[in-house]
Amino acid sequence: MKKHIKLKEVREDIPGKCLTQEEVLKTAEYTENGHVKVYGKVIGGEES
Amino acid sequence: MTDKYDVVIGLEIHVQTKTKSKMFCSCPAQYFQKEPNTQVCPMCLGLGGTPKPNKRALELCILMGLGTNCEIASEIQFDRKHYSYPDLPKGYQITQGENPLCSNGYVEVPSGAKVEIERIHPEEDVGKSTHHVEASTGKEYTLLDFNKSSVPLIEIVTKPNIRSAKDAKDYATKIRQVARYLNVSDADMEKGQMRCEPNISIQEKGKWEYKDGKILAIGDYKLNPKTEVKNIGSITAVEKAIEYEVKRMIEELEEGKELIQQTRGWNASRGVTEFQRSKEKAEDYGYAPDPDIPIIDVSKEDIERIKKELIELPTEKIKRYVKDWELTEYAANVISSSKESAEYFEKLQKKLSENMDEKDAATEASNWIMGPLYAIANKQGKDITEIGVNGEDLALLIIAFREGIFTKNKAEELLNESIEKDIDISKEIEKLKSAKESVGSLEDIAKQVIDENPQAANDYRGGKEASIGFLVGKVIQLTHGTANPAEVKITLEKELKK
Repeated sequence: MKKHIKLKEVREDIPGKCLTQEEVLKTAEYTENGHVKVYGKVIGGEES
Repeated sequence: MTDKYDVVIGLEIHVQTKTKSKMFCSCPAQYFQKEPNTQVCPMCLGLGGTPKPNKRALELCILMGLGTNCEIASEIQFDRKHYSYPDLPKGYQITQGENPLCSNGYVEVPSGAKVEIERIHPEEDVGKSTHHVEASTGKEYTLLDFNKSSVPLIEIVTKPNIRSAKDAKDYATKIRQVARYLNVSDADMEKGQMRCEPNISIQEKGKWEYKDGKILAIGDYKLNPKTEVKNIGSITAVEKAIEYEVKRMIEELEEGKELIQQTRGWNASRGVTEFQRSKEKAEDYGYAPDPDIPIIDVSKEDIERIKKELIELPTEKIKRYVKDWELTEYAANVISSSKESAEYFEKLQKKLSENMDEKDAATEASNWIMGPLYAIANKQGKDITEIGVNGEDLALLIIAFREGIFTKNKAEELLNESIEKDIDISKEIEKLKSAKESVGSLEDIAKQVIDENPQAANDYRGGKEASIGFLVGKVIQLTHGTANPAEVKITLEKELKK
C-alpha cells in the first residue's frame, strides 16, 4: 500500500541552491560553451 | 474545408507554470537567458535523489482545471513515462498516466463550439538539446543544457472534437488567456512557456462518428491516420499549420496515396509541415507508478482554498459586456483579450458612469480604447496599459468632449500630448473651457472667417460646396479646437446664404 500525504504537506515553492556549471560538467567527457556535448546520431523522438 | 472530408483535430498544449522552483526539486524554475547548466542539481540531472513535488505547481494545475470547467481528482498519483532521448537524463519523465489531476473540462470558442478537454495533468519539462554537425570531422553531435529539466509543466489535452483550424486557434488563444488571467503562466510561446501540438486527420463525411470522446468508423470504413505537428511557435501558426496539413492530406488522398501516421514539424519560414518520423503503431512508454512519490490527497478544503484564486474569465466577461452593457461581441472579445485591458476598460467605464448612463459609459470606454488608445499602443508595440494613459485623465477627456468643450480631434490631440509631454489633462481642459467662453459666439467667428477668406466664400456661393471644409477648419482653428465641426458647418452655411 503506497503512502498517502496531504496536499498541504507537499514541498513549498521555495528555490534552493544549485550545482555550479563546473560541478555539472566535470564528469562530462566532452563539453562546449557550458553544454554537455554528446557525439552520435540521436535515435528516438523528443517528447515532453 | 472540403465538401468530401471532415477535419478532425485534437490539441495538446503544454504550459510552464509560474513557480519559483522546479517540479520535483528546489532548483530555480527561471532558466531563460541563464548560463547553461547552472540551474540544476543531482535530482534534475538524473543522478539520484528523491523527487519532491512542488505544492504551488500542483495548485496551479488545479486552478487551470477549475478555470476550464474540469473535475478535480481527490488523489494525485505520479507515474514514470519511459523513453530515451538525450535531454531526458533519467530515462523517464515524471508525469501522470491513467489518472489525471483534472479531467472532463471544456472551453467555449467564439464559433459557439465547445472544445472538450480530456485531461490536464502536472508533469516535468525536459532539458534542451540542440543538434549540430562538427565542421572539422563531419560528426553529428548534440549540445545539452539541463536548466529546463524538471521545470513544472501542465499538459492540457483535448478530445478530438475540434472541427476547424480557426476553432483550434481560438481554443489555443482561450487557453493562453485563462493561463494569463489566473496567473498560472505567462504562456509566452516565443519563450517556450506554451507549446501547441495539434493532431489532425481527415475523414470522409458520413463515414465516421464522434462518440464518448472517440472517433469511430461507421460500417467497414477505415479511418485515416492522424498527423501530429510539432515546432509550432505562435498561436497564428496553429491555424496555418493545420490548414496546410489538411490540404496536404486531401491532395495525397485524391492522388490515390495512402496516408501514414506520422509526426511532422512546422517550418514557419516556408509555411509548410515537414516529415519528421512515422508512427506505425502507438508508442509504448511503459508507464509505471513512481515508487518514490507518495499519493497526494486533495481535499475539498484544498479545492475551496484554490477556488478563491479564480477570477472572472474572458468567456464570462464577454457575456457580461454584451448582456449588461450591449457591447458588440467583437468589442467584448477585443477588450477582454487580456486581463490588463479588461481591468482598464472596467475602471474607465466605472469612472464614466459617474457622469452618464452605464451603457453609454461602456460604449464610450470601448470606443476610446479600441480607437485612439489601441492606435497609440500598436504604434509603440505595447499593451494599452503600458502607454502611460491614466484612466482618470482619459475619463476627463471623454466627459469634456461629450460636454462639447472641444472636438474629438482635439481630444485625441490632447491624449497624444499627454503621453509625449506629460501634461496635466485637467488643467488643459480648464484652459480650453475658458478659451471657448472667451472666443465669442460661433456666428461672429463664422462672419469673421467669411470676411477674411472671400475667395473660399465666393467659391462656395458659386457652387463649389467642398470649399466650405476650408472655412470650417479656419473656424475650428479660431476656437482652439473647441467648436463642433457639424455645428460650425451649419452656422457657416447660414452665414454664407445671407
